[in-house]
This record gives sequence, C-alpha cells and structure tokens, in this order.
Amino acid sequence: MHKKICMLGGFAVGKTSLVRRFVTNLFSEEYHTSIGVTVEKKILSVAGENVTLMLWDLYGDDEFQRIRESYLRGSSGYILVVDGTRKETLATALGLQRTVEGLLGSIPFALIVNKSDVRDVWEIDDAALSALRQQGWTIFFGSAKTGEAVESLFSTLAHRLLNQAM
Amino acid sequence: MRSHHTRQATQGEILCTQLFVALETAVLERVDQTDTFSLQGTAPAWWSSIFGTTTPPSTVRPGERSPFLKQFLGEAEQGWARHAAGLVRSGPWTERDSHGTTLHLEATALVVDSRQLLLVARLGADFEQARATLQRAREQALRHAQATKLQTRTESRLTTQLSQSEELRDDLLGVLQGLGLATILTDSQGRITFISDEAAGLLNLSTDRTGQRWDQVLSCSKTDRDAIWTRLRNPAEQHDPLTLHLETDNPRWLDVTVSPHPRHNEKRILLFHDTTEIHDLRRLLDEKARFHDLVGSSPSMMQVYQLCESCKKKRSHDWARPNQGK
Ligand SMILES: Nc1nc2c(ncn2[C@@H]2O[C@H](COP(=O)(O)OP(=O)(O)OP(=O)(O)O)[C@@H](O)[C@H]2O)c(=O)[nH]1
Ligand SMILES: [Mg+2]
Repeated sequence: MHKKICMLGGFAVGKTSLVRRFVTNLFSEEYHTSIGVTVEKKILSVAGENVTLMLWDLYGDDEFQRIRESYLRGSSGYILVVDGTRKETLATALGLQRTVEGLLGSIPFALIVNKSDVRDVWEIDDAALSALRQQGWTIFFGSAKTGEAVESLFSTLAHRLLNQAM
Repeated sequence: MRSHHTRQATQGEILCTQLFVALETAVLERVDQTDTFSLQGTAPAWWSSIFGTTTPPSTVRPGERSPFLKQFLGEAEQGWARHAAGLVRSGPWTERDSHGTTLHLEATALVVDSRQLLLVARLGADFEQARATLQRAREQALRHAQATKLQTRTESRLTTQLSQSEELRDDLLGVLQGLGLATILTDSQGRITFISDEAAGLLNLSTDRTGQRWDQVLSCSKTDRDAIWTRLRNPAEQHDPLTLHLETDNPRWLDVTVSPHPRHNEKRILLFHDTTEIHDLRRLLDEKARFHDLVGSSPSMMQVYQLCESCKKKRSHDWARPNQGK
C-alpha cells in the first residue's frame, strides 16, 4: 500500500532534514534550499501491514515560491513543519493548512515544531499551540538534529492514514 | 526532386535529434492514450541512469520509475485531451540515480500534429543559477531575521536595565533629599550633574543649574573659588572642610567638603554645611568679650551696648561680615 504524504511549511524550517533523518537517519547542519519536489520512500510496518510512505518534500512556501496545488493532489495526509526558533513560521503553516483543507478536504495531518534542540532561542507561543490542540490537532515537539519525535511523527500519521483507510 | 526533399527531411530529423540531445531532453510520444511512451530520436546521456536503458523506438513507462512523473501524467492528461496548442509544465523535481547523484528534471506535455508528446529535460546552468540566487535570498532573510531578533532582545534587556537603574537612582535621590544634605555632584570638567534641593536652597538658586560649571553657580570670592578648585583637583588630600563666604542677597558662611566619587574617579561630590549661625554666635561672643574688656559693665555702658545689639539685629542681613573695626 502506498501513501502520499506532503511535507509543508515555510523555508528552512527543516522539512528536508526531517525526511532525511527519518529515511536515512542522517542530519546535516548545512542549508540547501529545496527547489521543486523530491520524493522519498520509506516502508513502515503498521499493525502488521507494510505501508510505503511516499514523502513529498516540497520547497518552502514564501514570497519567492508558492506551493503548486497540483503537487498536493493525491495526498493521503500531510505534515506541517514549524521552526520553533522563528514564530512567523507558525503563521505560514496555518495558512498552508487552510490551503490544503480547501483543496483536499479534511485529511489526516500532524504538526511538528522542529529544532527542539535549541530551546534557548525558542519563540513559539505555547498558548497558540494549546488552542490548536484543543481543536484536535496532533502536535509534536521534535528535532531533525537529535531525532527527537521524528519516528513517532511519521508512524503516528501512518497509523491514522491506515485507520482511516479501514 | 522527390529524393531531394526526402534528403532534406532526413537532415532535418537528424538536426532535431541532435538538438534535443544537446538540450539534454528526452522526447517521448504517448502510445494509445496509455501511460506507455515510445522514445523518439536519441535518448540523452542522463536518461538511462534514471529510467534504464531504452533503445528508441522501444517503449517505456516512466511513471513507474518516478512517482512525481506519475502524478504529472495525470495533470498532463488534461492538456493532451484538449488537443490544444499550449504546454503543461511539471515544474522542477529531483531524482536520484543508483549512484546517489541527484538530477534536476522538468517535464512538459504538449500536442504536435495530434501527437501527444512528453519532453523530459535535465535542468542545467540556468536552473543552478536561479537556485543559487534563491539560496542567497533565503540565507539573507534568515540572517536578517536573526539580527533583528538579537537587536530586539538586546534592546529589551537594556530597557529593563535602564528602568531598573532609573528606579534605583530615584530611590537614592529620595534618600539623599530625605537626609537633607546639601550636595552637588560634578563631572570631570566641573559641570554640575546633580544638585540637591537643600543645596539649591542654600546657594539661593531658583532655577535648575545642572549642566553649568559649579563656579558659575557659587557666588564667592576668587580666593574661595581657587581654594575649591584645588580641592577638586586633589579631593583626597585634605579632609578639613573649606570655609567660604557666599556673596548673595542672603549672605552665608558655608563649610565645603570635596570628596571623590566612589565609583567614577573623575567626578566629585561637594557637601555644604551652613555655618552662618555658628559664625554669628562666635562673633557675638567675641564682641561681647571685647565690650567688657574695653568699657566694663557699668549700667550706662550696658545700655549703650544693648542699643548697639538691637540695631545690629534689625540690620542683621547687613552684618554678614564681622566688621570688627566699627
Ligand atoms: N538546530 C537544528 N537545526 C535544524 C533542525 N532541522 C533542520 N535544521 C537546520 O535548518 C536548516 C534548514 O533545514 P532544511 O531541512 O533544509 O529546511 P527546509 O524546510 O527543507 O528548507 P527549504 O527547502 O528551503 O524550504 C539547515 O541548516 C538545517 O541544518 C533541527 O532540528 N535542529
Ligand atoms: Mg528542503
């Protein structure tokens, strides 16, 4: 079974790094901005069934590049990535969530506040996140650098995709 | 004639093939409205590393190898179905070959002569240049955001520190005023940086004189001024207060001590004590003693003496200096 998952968020929030950590267990401090799309695969065993996650690592959404709606089509779920050290990236993620919901309806997604390894320069407002949790959002705090919450982020979403398919 | 045309057509075909190879572009024609395509002309050098060896005109299903292309074929379908002139572009995407080398590709769907075509091009120098520009723009945006954040944080720290030290200063001023000490604080140039209410009253100053030099504010003789300047230059050397006479509408005798500021070496603290009353009393005692010595204490002389005293009280403000000769 193949499931398409889009990685969405502002630029430099760590979309590529999270996918790389999950697929190859590697991390690089260097920043190479993504242009266009890279599709990575990883097979997960969910409730005794093998699921191939097709992870669409999209470029960061900003004034230079807007997300093409055609890239989102066919997604089973998506991951919103926020950079914990830049509070404006939460607003970008919220905007993208509205776009996806408008286009694909309500499909499973999760939000990760990335870069939890540098909490001393943390900027994200806890109140805003609690409000989202109350709306039923699944929110993780994690780090592509240390690997914190990376596995659980993808496997939680995979479980939800499978539960929905059943 | 016909063979001439045929030769020309063949040469044109060869040129086209070479052109597409030079542009690193694969030309595929859709077979029977399916996901199968036949490779036209010659495959560019990069093709086999991603899509496997394909010898034209053999067929290939590129969507099987590339999930991105598979999705794009769905989008391209609409363009092909319209049979309209015009291009459907995929936008750039990245594939990795078996050696881990990444290739940036872009696909274009179009219809030519009712033939449904798919071009897959490897993006070259232009793409790399655009990428480098975007990379710089984003790095700059990140640096700018970080610098702004740092500035805001420093600013707010300094504002807090400033308000704390302002509060502390106000407290200390309150204490100083409360103690009723007549103090003046001067900087290295002798300019007044602080003057207590008590000092302002004592020196007969009705307006705020901070910023002015102390010697413009203190009306006294040159000798007194010079003595204070000496103390200001060497504040620690003498500890006895200086006595100076204030020559204002309300003349006074003042004792002045000059001390160095405990934290700022170049600053000075001048502390004034009003000793006018002591001076007056001392003078009275002196005079009394002198009257007694000179004329004794016969009742008539005592009367003269008391008359003198009452006159002196009436004109006390004129008696600022002990004028012993009169
Ligand atoms: N400290 C820290 N740095 C991280 C983390 N994740 C990513 N980074 C760094 O953040 C920068 C951006 O990471 P990317 O993964 O390229 O971000 P992206 O969201 O794919 O960026 P775009 O492709 O430009 O949209 C890189 O320098 C990474 O090393 C993390 O968890 N902790
Ligand atoms: Mg990226």
